[in-house]
Amino acid sequence: MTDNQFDNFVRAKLHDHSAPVPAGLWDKVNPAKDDDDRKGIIIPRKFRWGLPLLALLILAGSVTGYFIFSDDASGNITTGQNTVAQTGSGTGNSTITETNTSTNHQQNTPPENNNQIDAAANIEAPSTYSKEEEANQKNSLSINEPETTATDKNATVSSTPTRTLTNTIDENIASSKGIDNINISNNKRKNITPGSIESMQVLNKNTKNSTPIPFVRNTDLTTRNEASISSTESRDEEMVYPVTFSGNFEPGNTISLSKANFGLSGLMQRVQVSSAYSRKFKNIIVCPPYKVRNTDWFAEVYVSPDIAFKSIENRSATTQYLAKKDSSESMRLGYSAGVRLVKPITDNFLVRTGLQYTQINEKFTYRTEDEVKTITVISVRTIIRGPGDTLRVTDTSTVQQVGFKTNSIKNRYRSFDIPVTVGYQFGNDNLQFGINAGVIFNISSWYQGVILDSSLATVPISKGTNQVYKNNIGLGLYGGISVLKRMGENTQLFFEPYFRYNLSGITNGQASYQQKFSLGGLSIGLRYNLNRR
Amino acid sequence: MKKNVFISTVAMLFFFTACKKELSDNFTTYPGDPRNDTVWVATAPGNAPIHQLANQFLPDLIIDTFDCALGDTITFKDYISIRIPAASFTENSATTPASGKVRLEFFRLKKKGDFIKFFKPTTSSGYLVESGGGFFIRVVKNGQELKLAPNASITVRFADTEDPKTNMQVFHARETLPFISSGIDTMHTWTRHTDTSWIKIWQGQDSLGNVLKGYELTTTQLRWTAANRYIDSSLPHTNIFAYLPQNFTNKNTLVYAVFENQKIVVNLTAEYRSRSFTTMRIPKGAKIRILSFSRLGTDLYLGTKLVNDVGTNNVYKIEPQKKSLTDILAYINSL
Repeated sequence: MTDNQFDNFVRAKLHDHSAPVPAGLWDKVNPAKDDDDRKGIIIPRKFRWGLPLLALLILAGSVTGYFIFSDDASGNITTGQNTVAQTGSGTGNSTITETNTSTNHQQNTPPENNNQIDAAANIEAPSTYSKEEEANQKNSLSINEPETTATDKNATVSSTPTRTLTNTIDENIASSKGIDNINISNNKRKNITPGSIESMQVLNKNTKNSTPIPFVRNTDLTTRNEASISSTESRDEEMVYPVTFSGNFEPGNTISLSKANFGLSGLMQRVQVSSAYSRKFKNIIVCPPYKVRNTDWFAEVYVSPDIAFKSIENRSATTQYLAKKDSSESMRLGYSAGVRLVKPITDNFLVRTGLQYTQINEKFTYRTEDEVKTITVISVRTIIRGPGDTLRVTDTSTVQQVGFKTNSIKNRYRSFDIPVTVGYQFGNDNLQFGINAGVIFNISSWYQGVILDSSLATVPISKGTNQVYKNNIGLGLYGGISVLKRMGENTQLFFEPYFRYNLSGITNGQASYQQKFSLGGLSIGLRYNLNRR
Repeated sequence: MKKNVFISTVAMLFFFTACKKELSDNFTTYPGDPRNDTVWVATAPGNAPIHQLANQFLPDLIIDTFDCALGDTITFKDYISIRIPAASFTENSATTPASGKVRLEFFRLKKKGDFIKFFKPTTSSGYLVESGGGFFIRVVKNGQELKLAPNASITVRFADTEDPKTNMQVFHARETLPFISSGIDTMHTWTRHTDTSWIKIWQGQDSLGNVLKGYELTTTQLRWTAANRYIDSSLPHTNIFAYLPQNFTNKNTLVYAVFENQKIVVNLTAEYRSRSFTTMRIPKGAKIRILSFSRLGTDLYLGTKLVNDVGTNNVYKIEPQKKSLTDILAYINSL
C-alpha cells in the first residue's frame, strides 16, 4: 500500500505536467528529414509517438526480416525470379496498410499516396473468392491504391496504434496480425517444394483460425499468389511473387501462412530496396558468368610504320671500311603490313598468327666524281658578216657542267614472316588494352640496293646476286602493347606499339661484318569479328 | 562506317607502297674548274687551255748530228734530203763560222694535219696561201741555236703528196721573239721570202722505181720554211663563222678550216663580240671542213663540219665530241 500511496502522490503531482520539447530535438533525432521526405516516409513532427513507433516497427521489421531471410536462405529462392520482380516494381512504392476502422484518422498528415503504388492492386482476385468475404475484409484490411477514397488515403497514419508503414511494404504488419490470427499447419513441411498459393488468403487476415490454405496449382516450381479485392476486380493484371519453399509441394499439403508471409514480406523488402537503388542506378541486367569457352574468331589487318635499329659487329673489316659504311648508310622509315587471325582462348587470353611483310629502308649515300650535267640553253648571237650585214643567230644548244653527284639510293631489306603471339587483353566493350608477346618466324628475306665492296666502291646487290646477306634470318622475338577501340558491332580499331628483336643477323658468314636489325613500330589496324552476330 | 574504314585502309596501304623513287642525286659543280668555264675573253691568256692543247699535238722532232765545219747531206725518210754546205752556221753573236758537231732538229710539214699540229695555218697576213709543204730546221750547238751564216744557204729536197705546183715560193713563218718553245705562237703568219723566184720542181725515183715529185728549195733562214703560193684573191670569197656550245670558248678551243682539195689550213680567230670563230677570204664554192679542237680540263674534244659549198651558208654550228688524244691525232693525220 505504501508503494501505492507514493505512486498516487506522484501521479497527482504530475497529472497535468507536461515537459516542453526543446526546439530542434526532432531535427537531431531525425536529421535526414528531407531525405525522408524524398523517400516518401511520412512522420509528422507533432506526433510524439512517431519516433518510438518507428523504432518499434524497425525492430519488428528487423526481426521479421531475419526470419524471412533465414527462411529464404533455406528456400533456395531463384535469382531470376527476384530480378523480374524488382524490375516490375521499380518506380512504385507499395503500401499495405492494415488499420482498425474504429480508430480516428488524423487529418494533419499530408497524403503521400501519390507515391504509393499498391502492389496488392495488381493482385488478381481469383474467381473462387466471394463478394461477401470481400466485404468482410473491409473491416479488417484496407489496401491503399491510387483509386482509393480520401478516407483510405488518410488512413496511412493513425492516432491509435496502427500497423502502417509508409513507403515500405508492411508485410510486418500483415505478418504480426496474420501470424496471430491465422493458423496454418504444415504437417509435411519437409516435402514442400516451391509451389503456388493464393495470396488472397494471405490478405484474408480476418479469417480466424483459418482452414489450411488450399493449393490451387502445384505443377510449377514457382508459386503464383493471386488476390482479389473488390476495388480491383476489373483489373486483369497479374503479378508474380516468387515465394519459394524448401520442401516440395504436393496436393493436400498445408503450409503455414506465416511462412508464406515471411516469404512475401522478404520479397517485398527486396522490392523496396531495389526500388531505392533503382533511383540511383539504371536498370542493369547482370548476366550470370558465362564460363563456356570463347568461340569467337577475329581477323586483323594492319600496317605499321617501322623504325629499324641497326647493329654492326666487326669480323674482318677494316676500320676505314666500317667508317665509310657508317657514314654512307642511314636508316629510314620502313613499314610492315600483314593479316592475322586471332583466337581468344578465354575472355582475356588470345593467340594470334598470320602473315606479315616487312620492309626496312636504308638510305645509302655516296659521291661520284666528274659527273656531267647537261643543260639546254638558248643562245643568241649577233654576227656581223660585213658592213650592213648583221646576222642574228638563235641557237638551242646544250651546256655541260662538270661536278660531283651526291647519290642517294634506297636499300631495301624485305622479308615475309609468320608472327605467333599470345596476349592478355582486358577492359570493357568499348576500350580494351592488351599485352602481347611471341616469336616471329622468318619465311624469306631478300635485299636490294648497293653496298660497299672492299675497295670502298659501291656495288649493286639484288635478290638474285647477293653474296652478303642471308635468305632467311630465322627467329625474332616480339613484344607489344595494344589498345583497342570499338568502332562498330564487329569492328575494333587497334594501335599496337611493338618491338621486334631478331635473334640472328642478316649477313652470312662470309661477310666481313655482322649486321643485325631490330624493329620498333606502331601497328595500326582493324580487327573484325568473324562470328558476326 | 565500313566504307570509310575500307577506304582508309586501302589509302594507308597505298601510302606505304607509293614511294618508288630509287635514286636521287644532288649535283654540285666544281668551283673554278675550267670545264665549267663558259666565259669568253678578248685575248686568250698564255695559260689558256689552247696552249696546252697545242703542246699535246706537237710531234717528236727528228734529230741528227753533223759536223758543221765540214758540211753534210742529211737524208730522212719520205725522201727528204738536206744539203748543208761547210762552215755555213754561225752563233748568234759571232761572225766566224761555227765548227764541230752540232745537232740538227727537223720536222716536216707534209700534210694539212701537220700545219694544225704546229699551229702553222697557211695564211699570210690574212690572205690564204696554198702550201706544197714545209719544214722546220733548227741547228743547236751546246744548247745554243745556230743560224745560217751570211750568204750561206741550205737546200732541202722533199717529195710532195700532190703534184708539185710551178709557182711556189719560199715562205718563212713569222714567230714571236724570243722563240717560244711551247704552246701556240699567236704571232704566226707566213711571210714570203725576199727571193720570190719559183721553187724548183724536183723529180726522182724511189728504190722501187716509182716516180717521186717534189720541190727543191733553197733558203737562207732556218726554222719554219715552206713552199707556198697565194691563192687568187680576186675570186669571190666570203667570211665564214662557226659557233660552238657555251662550254667551248676562245680559251679552250681552236677552230680551223681545212680545204678538201688544197693544202690550205685556215685558222678561225675568235670573235669576242659574237662568241664565235671566224675567218675571211674563203672562196665561195670551196669545199672545206671546219674542225674544232678543244681542251676542257683534261678532256679533249673534236668537232667536225663538212662544208661542200661555202657561200650558201656561212654560219656553221660545230658540236664537238669528246675524243681521246690518239683519236684526234689519227684524225689529224688523215687530213
